[in-house]
Amino acid sequence: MYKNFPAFICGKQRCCIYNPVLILKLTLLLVTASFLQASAITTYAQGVTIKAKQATLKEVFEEIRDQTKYDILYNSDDLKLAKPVTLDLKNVTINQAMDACLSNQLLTYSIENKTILIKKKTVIHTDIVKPPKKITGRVTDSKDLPLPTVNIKEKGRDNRTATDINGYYSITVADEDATLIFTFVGMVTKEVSLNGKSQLNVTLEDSPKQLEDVIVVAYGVQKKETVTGAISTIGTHDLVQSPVANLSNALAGRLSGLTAVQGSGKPGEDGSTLYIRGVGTYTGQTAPLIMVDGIARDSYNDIDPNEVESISVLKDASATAVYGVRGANGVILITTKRGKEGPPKVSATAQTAITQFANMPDFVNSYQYASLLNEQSYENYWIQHANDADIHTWSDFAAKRDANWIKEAVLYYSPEDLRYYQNAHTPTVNGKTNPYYDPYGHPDQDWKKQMFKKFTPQTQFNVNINGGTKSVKYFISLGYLKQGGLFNTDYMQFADEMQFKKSRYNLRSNLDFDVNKDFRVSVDVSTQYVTITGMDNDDYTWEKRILWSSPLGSPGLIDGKFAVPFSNINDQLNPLYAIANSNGYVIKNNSTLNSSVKLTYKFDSITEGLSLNARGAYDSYFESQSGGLFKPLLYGVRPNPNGDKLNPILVQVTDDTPPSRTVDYYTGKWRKVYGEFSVNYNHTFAKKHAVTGLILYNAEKKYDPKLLYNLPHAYLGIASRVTYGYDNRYLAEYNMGYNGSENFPEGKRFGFLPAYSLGWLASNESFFPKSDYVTYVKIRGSLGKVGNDRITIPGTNPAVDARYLYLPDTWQYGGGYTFGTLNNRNPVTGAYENTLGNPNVTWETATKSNIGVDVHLFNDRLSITYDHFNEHRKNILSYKGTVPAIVAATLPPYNLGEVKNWGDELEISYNSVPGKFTWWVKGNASTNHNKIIFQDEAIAPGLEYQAATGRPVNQGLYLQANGLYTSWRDLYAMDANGNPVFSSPVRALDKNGKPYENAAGKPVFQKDLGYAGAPLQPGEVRLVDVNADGIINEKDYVRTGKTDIPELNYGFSFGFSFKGFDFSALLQGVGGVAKYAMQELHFNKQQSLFQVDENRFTQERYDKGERIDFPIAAYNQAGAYNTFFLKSTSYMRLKNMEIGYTLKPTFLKRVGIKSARFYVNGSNLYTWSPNKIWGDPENLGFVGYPLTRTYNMGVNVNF
Amino acid sequence: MMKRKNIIILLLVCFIGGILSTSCKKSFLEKPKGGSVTADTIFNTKNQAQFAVAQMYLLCIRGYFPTNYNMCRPEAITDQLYIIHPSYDWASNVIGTGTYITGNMSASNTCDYGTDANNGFSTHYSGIRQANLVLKYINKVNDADNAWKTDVKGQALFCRAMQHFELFRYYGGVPILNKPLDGAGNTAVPRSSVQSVVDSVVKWCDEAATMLPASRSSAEFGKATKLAALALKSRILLYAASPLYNTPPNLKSEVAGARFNDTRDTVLAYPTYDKERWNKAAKAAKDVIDNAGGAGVSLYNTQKPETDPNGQSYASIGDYESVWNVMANQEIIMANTATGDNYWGKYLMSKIRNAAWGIKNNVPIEFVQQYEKKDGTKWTLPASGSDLPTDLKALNLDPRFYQTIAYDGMYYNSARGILSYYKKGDYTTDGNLASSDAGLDGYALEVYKFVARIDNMTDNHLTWPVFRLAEIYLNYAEALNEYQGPGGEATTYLNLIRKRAGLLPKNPADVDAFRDAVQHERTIELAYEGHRYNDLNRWLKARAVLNGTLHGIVTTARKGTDGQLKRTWQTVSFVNRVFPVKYYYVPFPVGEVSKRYLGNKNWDGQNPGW
Repeated sequence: MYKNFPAFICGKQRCCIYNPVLILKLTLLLVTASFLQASAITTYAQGVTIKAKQATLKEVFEEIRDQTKYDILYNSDDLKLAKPVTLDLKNVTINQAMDACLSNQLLTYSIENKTILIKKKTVIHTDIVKPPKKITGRVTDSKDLPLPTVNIKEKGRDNRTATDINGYYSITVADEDATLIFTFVGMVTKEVSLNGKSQLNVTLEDSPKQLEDVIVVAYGVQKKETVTGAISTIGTHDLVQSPVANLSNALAGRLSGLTAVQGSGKPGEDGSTLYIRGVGTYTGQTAPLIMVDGIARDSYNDIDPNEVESISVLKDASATAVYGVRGANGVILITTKRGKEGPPKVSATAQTAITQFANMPDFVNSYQYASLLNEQSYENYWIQHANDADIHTWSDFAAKRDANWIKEAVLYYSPEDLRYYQNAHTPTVNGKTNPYYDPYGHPDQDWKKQMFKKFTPQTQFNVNINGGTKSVKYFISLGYLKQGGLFNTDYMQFADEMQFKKSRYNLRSNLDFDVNKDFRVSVDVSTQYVTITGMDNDDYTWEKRILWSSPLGSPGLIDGKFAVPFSNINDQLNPLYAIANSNGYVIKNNSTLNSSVKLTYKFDSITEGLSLNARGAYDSYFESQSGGLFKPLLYGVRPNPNGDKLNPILVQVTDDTPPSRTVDYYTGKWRKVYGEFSVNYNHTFAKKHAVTGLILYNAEKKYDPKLLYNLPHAYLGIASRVTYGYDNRYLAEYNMGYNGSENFPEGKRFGFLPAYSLGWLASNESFFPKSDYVTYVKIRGSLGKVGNDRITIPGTNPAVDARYLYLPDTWQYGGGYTFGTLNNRNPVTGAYENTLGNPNVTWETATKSNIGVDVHLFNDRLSITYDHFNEHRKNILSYKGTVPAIVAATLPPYNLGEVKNWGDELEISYNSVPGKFTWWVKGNASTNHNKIIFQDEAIAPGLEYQAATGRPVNQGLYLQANGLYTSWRDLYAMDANGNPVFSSPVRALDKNGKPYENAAGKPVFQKDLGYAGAPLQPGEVRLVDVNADGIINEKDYVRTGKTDIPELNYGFSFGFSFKGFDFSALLQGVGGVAKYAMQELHFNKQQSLFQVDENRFTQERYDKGERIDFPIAAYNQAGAYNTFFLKSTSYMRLKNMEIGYTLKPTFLKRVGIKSARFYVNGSNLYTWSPNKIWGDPENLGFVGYPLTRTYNMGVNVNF
Repeated sequence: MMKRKNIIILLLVCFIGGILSTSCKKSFLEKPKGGSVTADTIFNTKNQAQFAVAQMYLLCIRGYFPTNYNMCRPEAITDQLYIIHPSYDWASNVIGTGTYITGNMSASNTCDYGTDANNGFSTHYSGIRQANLVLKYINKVNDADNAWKTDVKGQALFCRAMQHFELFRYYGGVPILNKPLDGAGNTAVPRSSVQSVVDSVVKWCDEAATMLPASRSSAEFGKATKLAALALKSRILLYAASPLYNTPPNLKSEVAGARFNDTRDTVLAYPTYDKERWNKAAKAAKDVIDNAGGAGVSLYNTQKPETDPNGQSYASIGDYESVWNVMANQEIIMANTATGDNYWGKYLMSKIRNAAWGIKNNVPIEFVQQYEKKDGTKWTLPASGSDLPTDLKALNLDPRFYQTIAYDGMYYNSARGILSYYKKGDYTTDGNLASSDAGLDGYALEVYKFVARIDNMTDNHLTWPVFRLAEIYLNYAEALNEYQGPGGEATTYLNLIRKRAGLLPKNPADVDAFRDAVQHERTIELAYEGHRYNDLNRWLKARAVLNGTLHGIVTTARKGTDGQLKRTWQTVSFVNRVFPVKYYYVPFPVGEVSKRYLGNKNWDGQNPGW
């Protein structure tokens, strides 16, 4: 593939095929903008063989061009003067060939990149000043598309211009033979000599991409090629693809080693919990450090994704060591966009979406509900009477049960009731009034339909402008998000305020001032203003109101009036009323300000590559809240004495209360001051020894009245990094953090946390076979320490950090007692001992090692990255578990625990050859496993299987379930009639399959292995008598099963572009994860029942082979904490899918639009999960505000 | 131009330098002085020190009172109360009622109530620690005279004794702590013998009695007095003399399954029976009685044994009902004054009080039948009847029945009117109290002791007695009978209680008959005041009383022949009660047993059978 300048050779305009991938490429390449100049261009070493006799130079040049793939540029006029040449060259270099061609000519040549320029030999007239000359032309890319804002500079002079929106430029040069330098981000810089031409059209080539990428690392950037740590990165393109209201939710499945777990879909609380490489400690301190533009920032979820240039996840010690104290759980670096030199580029995005619940259980109707509860009462009779003295045989029992179960039933619905429920929606039968239609006395309410909306809108706007001059560069972005809620609040007084919703305004301004060529001042200011509204006490709204309601509890709303049965004035029977009545609305406003000033001064004058940086940052946060409440009237509904079922009497049973609103009051505020000073050094000696150095000093103070003791929180640290690269082949890096924490006593306050890493770029070795198959191989490894100084006070919710762990015991006020008599009350505040101090407390450290390989194959189209990591936490700050309760003091944390954490990560991507149909696939998968090596815990001898030590973090204690009892045959011998013989119970078998005895030597029977001896019947869970003592009790709990942190995370995405269309999809999933599903008890009094409960065990259902998800309706709840309900929550989601179409620029040019892209996308579109019937796998067992699914459409316009 | 730039640079450098330089100080990471409260702050002035004292009361003077929102009456595990669906009712979970009454109490879910995962166990020691900290630091208070310090020390000794007693009544011998332990030193304090615990509590009570005043001003009502210390001594000595700990040979078999039969048994009981322990108990009770007058304490007796059924004022209620309705009345030796208004309504759930919502404190027939007829005779309830209020009134029971237990058809007060617990039957709606938290039931009897009735249902006048004189009278009668037989003062004090209640005196002729009489009297007089659980245990009667089925009464509304509402009733089973012999001693929490400090090298310290 070779190229000519169109004006010289082609002369004709090729058809413009606009490739939408270009935008993607441009965006990606913008990241790399300022580092391109540093990249070396590979020289081609192609031999030339020519045999020619009296050939024209043009012919020879064409031959050379064919052989070498070099472009040869010449002015045809010049060649007219040339003499024919005769040559006999064999495998010579290009220079030798050119020398031979031009030896007797009046021409000379120069080689620039892959281009040979043929010029006339210039006669030097030093005393003649040539007149200025105006040059015009056009710059296009390889697809012949115009390139705007290309920088054009006359070589050797301070004379610049740039192309306009259509790629045209004009520049006045001093010398008609001047050389112009064309630079554009993401493209190879080109120098072209004018050779007297006044028009010069230039095509710029995409720069070879992979190797030149830079990635953001701690306190700086590095060329990806030279990075030796384990870092994953995504850019803005992937982020804005997910129509989500939270930055964290856009990360799931995108980055290897990162786990994102979303627990709620409620606007304002729908962010994901992030883990990097799983968890390495059992104390709950698992959150990674979040750095926004180099500064630790507490809130990041509300940053507009359009402001974000890239997100890097730093995983190993080498990458995180400079963060020392706070890097133990990994670090996430969020880098926002900055201005680039050039005319203003405006990008505007508008999108609107509808959101709906991704997974909402179906509740049973009244008839099913009543039948299930009758079934439960019937089965309960055995549980209550199995051990009655007068029951000796099955027929004794059956007779007694049939005579009494209805009487003893807690809830019983007669056949007549059932018939009414069946007819709850059938007013007429065969045209006649249905006598069993009684919608008020026997209602059947679909509460779900009345309480929730089918969907809600979500809209997002962003407009940003980016550009700059030589001395000022700017990026300014304005964003807006509005996220609706899915409750139906129309029937409430404060309908709008009660709705869960969120709106957000984002503003960011990143400015760079180049005061002079050495001195840059960067001023970044961003704010987020968020308003979240909705009901208070929303746990109750969900868990209690919905799960406490039954379809037959009340007739709901009658003519807009809330009704409950007059015989049972209980607001929970009518969840609509219960929600409206017991919830006030809450409006929370919070605003975040992040600001920083950064000064960079280059001291190349002292020594090349030296620069100093100083930075100050100020962040503040303020949250205020207001609310209100309206208690609607409640009516009791009683039957009309005239017997007319359709005209019940409504009796007002509550009094009018006026609506109330509360004034705004503040609920949270903090501010943070940060200062940083660093010295940077970056120089390459003798073209082979690349050395960089960094020494950074920082300090931070956070002021928050909610902090313990009302004292500001302080951090202090020194970080340094030295890297050395030899000849782009051998890389070494040393990172160090030296940090102080207020939590530790003097002498133990500072932690020294070093990390070392090495890398080998095997593909740059001379012996490495050059081929298109294997183009890049790097092997890297790292070893280092990071630390943690944080621990929360147990039992605090939300968690409060313990502080000054070394201080002697403190006291606090609270509690107290009231003395005195009725008319002389004397309340006295209490004072009690707070946490005791630990004078020896110090750093918790994690030793992390990482080994990784990066391989690029098939001309860099396929790239593979593999990492294996090990982490060893020691001295984990944790509380003692073996101190007797009789001490009854709050003991301080000690450096006690030890945990190992390990895993593997793989990232693979493939990009097709760009063309009409361009496609790509990307995949990542990561595993993480951990094991507690030591945790201070009290385990009684013989109960070692309950210890946390030796097991994964967060593993739960469960009774062991071995399926269900599916027949009486499992419990008793059966008689000829197929009934159990109570006098012949079945012996229980031990783990060897043998009958066994208990400690008293009595045989153990299967029937006695109910939890704590509860009577068993078919459909109960078969629990394992782990310690073989003949009773199932707390000693049979075993620490077992998967935890709620996935062992496997994966993401797989693919996409293509074709004729202006682009498509992409992301599949994301987790494995090796489980949750306990019975968070809310089922069949518990008057609670709602849903799909799971319908799939309960009955002998008939079992015998028919129907799906069984639940034990019998009368399931004995006391022993419910067993593995039957520990459900796998592995899942795979179609997390994201997008189709876009980019309009042709020729059409848009007329309206001044550079490009416009229309797209539709969606998130959480479909989920595959084995236990979906229990709820969404990410918040299984807890209804909460379920996760949502979003369908979104939008347009992005660039001006 | 350049100059201005330099100025800007200089300013910025100063700005950032300023931020950094402040942090260069060594103190940057130090905790600034002040801002935290230490023992020196608290025990500096009387005003501060009283906060620590108040907290000591909060933690130690819990008596039998349910101090937590999630709690039901402590009687839920005895024969005096039945709460529907106890296995998962929030109201009784904290004392594990559901598992307890079905024989399934476990070491991880016991009936000792508290606020954390260790049930009550560690909560008791929190109180003990607070008392020990007060004792440790109180001498540091600068502005207090010795008299004040002595008083506070006396209170702390009393509080410490109180919580050791609370532990003792559940677990038997427990670790004795007379100083605060710190986490770093030796914390493995094993269980002490029953004898050591009783002796320690008695010793602290004796010491406290010498330090505490005879009475308190009204603002200090609720604080320990000399009489309270003597009352606690009386109670623990009565317990110590009782068969559970001081087992006579004829009762050994009753408790055999709850003994190790080796030296470990010292933490469960005295090694041998000693009658002299009854004498000590009698003397201690008499000591209280003798000192009562000086403290202004006397039996509440205005010669008004009966409550006016329609009355709603103090004047209308009988003396027995007044004892718990009149705040700070003369019979109270010590009360739990807790935290003021509406405490009761909040913490003592009752269907009567909450009407629409709440748990229902159903009374089993087995307990109702404990009430004698007014003439002193026994009776048995038939299986059904035609109108409950008529039938119950016709029984003409001990007046205390009608001052303790509410029933379907009873007039309560103007706010509640006639209580209606019935199922609808012939009528269109169920009674408004017919359902509980668990649904419709129609159970017709509910305890209303400590539920406001008079005074427009305001709760704040109720008094929860920690000690009241009637208890001491009965302690005295019980101990004296065991030591020297019936007659004399034993009979006198028994009949003082009966007389106040409006009953005829009893004169049992022998020790056994008197024992039955005094146990009966205690059961009725102190009903729902938290004594039943321990009385059944220490008498070794729990197995007899708490194995078998408890029954209740369900009423259904019928239209009578006269067209009037009739509350027909029938008895139904409540629950089949199971009381394994190991229940006599509550198990220590699993976590504590696992720490291996309670016992010795060869024994984990857990009570037998657990």
